[in-house]
This record gives sequence, C-alpha cells and structure tokens, in this order.
Amino acid sequence: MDSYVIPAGTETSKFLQFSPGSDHIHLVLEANARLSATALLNMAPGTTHDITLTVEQHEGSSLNLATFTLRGGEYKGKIHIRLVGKGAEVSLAGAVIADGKERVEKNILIEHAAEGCTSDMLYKQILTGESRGLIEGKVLVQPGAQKTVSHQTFGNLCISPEAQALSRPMLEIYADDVKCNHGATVGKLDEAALLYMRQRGIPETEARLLLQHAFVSDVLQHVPNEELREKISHLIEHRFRGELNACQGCSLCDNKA
Amino acid sequence: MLEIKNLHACVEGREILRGVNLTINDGEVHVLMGPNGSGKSTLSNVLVGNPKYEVTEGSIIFNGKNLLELSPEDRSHEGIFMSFQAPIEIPGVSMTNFMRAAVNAKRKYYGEEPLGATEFLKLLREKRKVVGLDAHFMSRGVNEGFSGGERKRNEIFQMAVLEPTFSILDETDSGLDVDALRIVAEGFNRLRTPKTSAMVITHYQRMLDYLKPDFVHVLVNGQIVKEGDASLGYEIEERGFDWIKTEVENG
Ligand SMILES: Nc1ncnc2c1ncn2[C@@H]1O[C@H](COP(=O)(O)OP(=O)(O)OP(=O)(O)O)[C@@H](O)[C@H]1O
Ligand SMILES: [Mg+2]
Repeated sequence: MDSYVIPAGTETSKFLQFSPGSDHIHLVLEANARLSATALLNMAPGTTHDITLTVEQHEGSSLNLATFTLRGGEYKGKIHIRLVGKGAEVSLAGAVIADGKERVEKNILIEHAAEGCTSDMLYKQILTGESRGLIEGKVLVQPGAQKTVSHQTFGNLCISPEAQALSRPMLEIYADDVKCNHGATVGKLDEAALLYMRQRGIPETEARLLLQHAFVSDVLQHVPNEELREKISHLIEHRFRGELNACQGCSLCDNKA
Repeated sequence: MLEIKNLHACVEGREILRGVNLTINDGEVHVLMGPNGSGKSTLSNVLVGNPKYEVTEGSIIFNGKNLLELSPEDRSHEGIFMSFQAPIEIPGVSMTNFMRAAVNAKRKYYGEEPLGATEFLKLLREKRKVVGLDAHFMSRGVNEGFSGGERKRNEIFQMAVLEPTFSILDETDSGLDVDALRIVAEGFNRLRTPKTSAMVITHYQRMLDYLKPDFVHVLVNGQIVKEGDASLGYEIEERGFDWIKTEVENG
C-alpha cells in the first residue's frame, strides 16, 4: 500500500498511478488541505484487477477526484472516503468505458463522520459489446454528522443491446439534519442532436462519437489542469474509435505526481 | 439549381405539403411567405432530409441529382444548408469540435485532406467576423446556453464556414434585435455570389429590405398559391394573407 499525506493548509494536484493487479493507495488530507487528483485506468483485456483507494479527510479539507476507466479488463475498484473533520468537502467524478467482455465494478463509499461536510458523486458509464458495468455509490451519514449535504448523479449509456449498465445509489442516514439527493441523467443519444449534426455534414458514426464524448464531458471538467484534461479527452476519443490499446506507457505516465 | 415538382409530404400521417412546385436558379434569392402552419418549415425540413417528414409524391432535383436519395450529410456536402427556425443545443460538444467535424467531413467527401489546426482556427476567426460572433462561443457547447438571437447568429456563422451553394433561412430574422438583424442580413449578403442561391422564410418586411429578393412565393395550406417579385412581399406586410386566400377560393 502506498500512503500519501497532504499537509495541513497546502494545495496540490496529483496523478494517481495504480499498478495493474492488486493495488491500494491511501491518502490523508490534513486540516484545510486541498487536493485535486486524477486517475486513469487502461488495462489489457482479459486481465484482472482489484484496486482500492482510501481517503481520510480532516477539518476543512477538500478533495476533487476524477477517475477514468478506459479499459478495465475485469476490474473491481473500491473507493472509501472518510470525512472525519468538520466542513470537509469531497467531489468524486468518474467515467467508465467498457466493451467486449469487460466487467467493471465500482464500489464507492462516502462516510460522513463529522458535521457540515459536503459530498458529490458524478459517475457515467458508456458500455458497448457485451460488457457489464456496475456502480454502487453509497453515502453513509454517521450519527452526529448534522448539516451533511450530499448529492449523487449517475448516468449510463448502453451503445449495444447486449451491454448492461447498472448504477445503484444508496443512502444510509443516522442523523436528522441532512440534505441528500440523487439523480440520473438521460441514457440515450439525443436523436435531434444527431440529426442536426448530420445536416451539417457530419457522418452519423462521427456524430455518435461526438455525442458519446459529450456524455462524459462533465466528468472531464473535474480535471483541473487543462493540458491533462486535453490529453485524457484525446485518449477517450481514441478509445471510442477503437484506436487505443492497453497502456503501453502512454504520455500520461509522465504526469505522475 | 433546385427543381421541386409536385411535392407531397406527410408528418405523422398527416399530409402537410400538397403539391409544391418551385424552381430556383443559380444566383437567385427566393422569399417564402405564408401563414403559420402553412408548411414552410416542413418544406425546408424535407429539403435537408429530416426523416420525420415523409415524401409521398413528387421529386426534388438538385444540380442534376435526385435529392431524395441522398442522406442528410451528403445533402450538406452537395451544398445545401439550412438555418433552423429553432436551433437545438448540443451540450458537451464544443463549437470548435463540431465545426471541425463538419468542415473535415466535407473535405473528405471531395477527396481533400483534413484542414490543419492553424488553418482551421484561421477559418473560424475569419467567419466569426462575418456575423460578429465572439471567440468565446467557440469553446462552449453547440448553442449551449446561447440566447435566441445568438443561436440565429451562430447558424449564419456555420453557413459562412460551410459555404453552401443553396441556403435555406427559416425565420432567421425572428428573435434578432435590430442591430443583430442588420449584421446577420449584411453577413448573408456578403456570402452571396452569382453561383449561390437561397430560399428565405420570413414574416417581416425588414428582411425584404435587406435581401432584395428576386421572387416571393406564398404558401397556403401546403401549396404555393401566389408568386411575384419583392412587391408582393410588401403587399402582404400591408394587407395580410386573407385576400390571397379569398383569391384562391374564388379560383
Ligand atoms: N414534427 C412534426 N410533428 C407533428 N406535426 C408537425 C411537425 N412538423 C410540422 N407539423 C405540422 O405541420 C403543419 C405545418 O407546420 P410548419 O412548421 O411547416 O409550418 P410553418 O409554415 O413553418 O409555420 P410557422 O410560420 O408558424 O413557422 C403544422 O400544422 C404543424 O403542426
Ligand atoms: Mg416555420
């Protein structure tokens, strides 16, 4: 397990590099620390992965995490965030793209263990082939975690009829003064938008690619660094075009830390 | 350029166009007027290949080609452009990416290489000037959060980039403030050449003032019932459509 501490009152951004197979990263955000983290998973088909991220957030700290699962093989991802200090904030965003026989399972738990904390989850899956995607997002509000605000949004887009996407928002609340809600986004490509694009000369396949990309654009917005955002955006585009192989040491690895 | 013969079209099983005949030659600007619901947008939508509108009879020949056999994208490549009455928004697809896809698709159709990044950005910059569209719109989603007037301006910007030979303007003037209308109309006029033509749908005289159309057609209940020069447009502005309907009824 790799452990990192973001010291009190500092602000930093980090590229989380998970190793294939089984890996665990643990982060501690001390009081008023701010961290923007990005993780990218691009695993060879047919390989199995079990990856865990645990985070402990102290008073007034803030975490913005964006994860992109471009290829998962058979992949289980676990995220467990513990908000242990007052007024801590966390924003999790993730995009999962899978095809063929890939199986991607994400298990997210945000634990509100202190007063006045805010959490936000935004997860999108785009599945094709016979792939399966499951996202379980749970918000647990401990006794005494009053004034909790939490919001969850999930969106699934199945490109082929054999693909199966499931998202499961869950709430477990042991405090009475909380604001928690969840929503779903439309899981269909907008036919009117497709037609508009075609009427501008954009071939249908290309138009579909643009709309798929647009579906995860709000997740991309969680990458604070513009250069990195552009790179990931390009990788996603290549992925949709079927031009992206499993990670062979892409340019992104230079962005470590 | 365009020859529409005895065109009948249905929407959801209801016949909206009931035998439209219209010929538009190179370099001409035609204005199409008519009461609400008479079928003007339907005709435009048929021309750009909206599958909701089913052609049941008649033909459309565009520069010698059977238009009805072409996909919407190929119609665009062949030079047809429509500025929509109510342009939709496409959140998450930036204007830049949208225009790049459109420009390069057309280039591919004509066997040309995609435009390089620098050239493409230069093209956008040049064309934005035609309609006075600010640079920041290019990084926003297509029409995402654009005001009604900005959307209309954006349509003409797209027209400027794609350089169609035949343009349809479906009430592009409505929703524009006085200054924006002048800019858009002047922009449109600047894009005119002896080789390009247009069908302009409008309810207002101001558009006639700017465009000085060669012909005005009046569509009532799915048929063109009266044709004339620009003066017919001014007469409608003054007298409305009822006298034309009466003329039609009395044969
Ligand atoms: N997609 C559609 N679905 C159902 N009905 C439609 C559709 N499009 C057009 N119609 C109907 O066809 C008729 C003609 O509509 P169209 O939009 O062509 O009129 P228009 O002449 O453009 O009117 P306006 O001046 O109000 O824009 C109307 O009765 C309209 O309700
Ligand atoms: Mg109309």
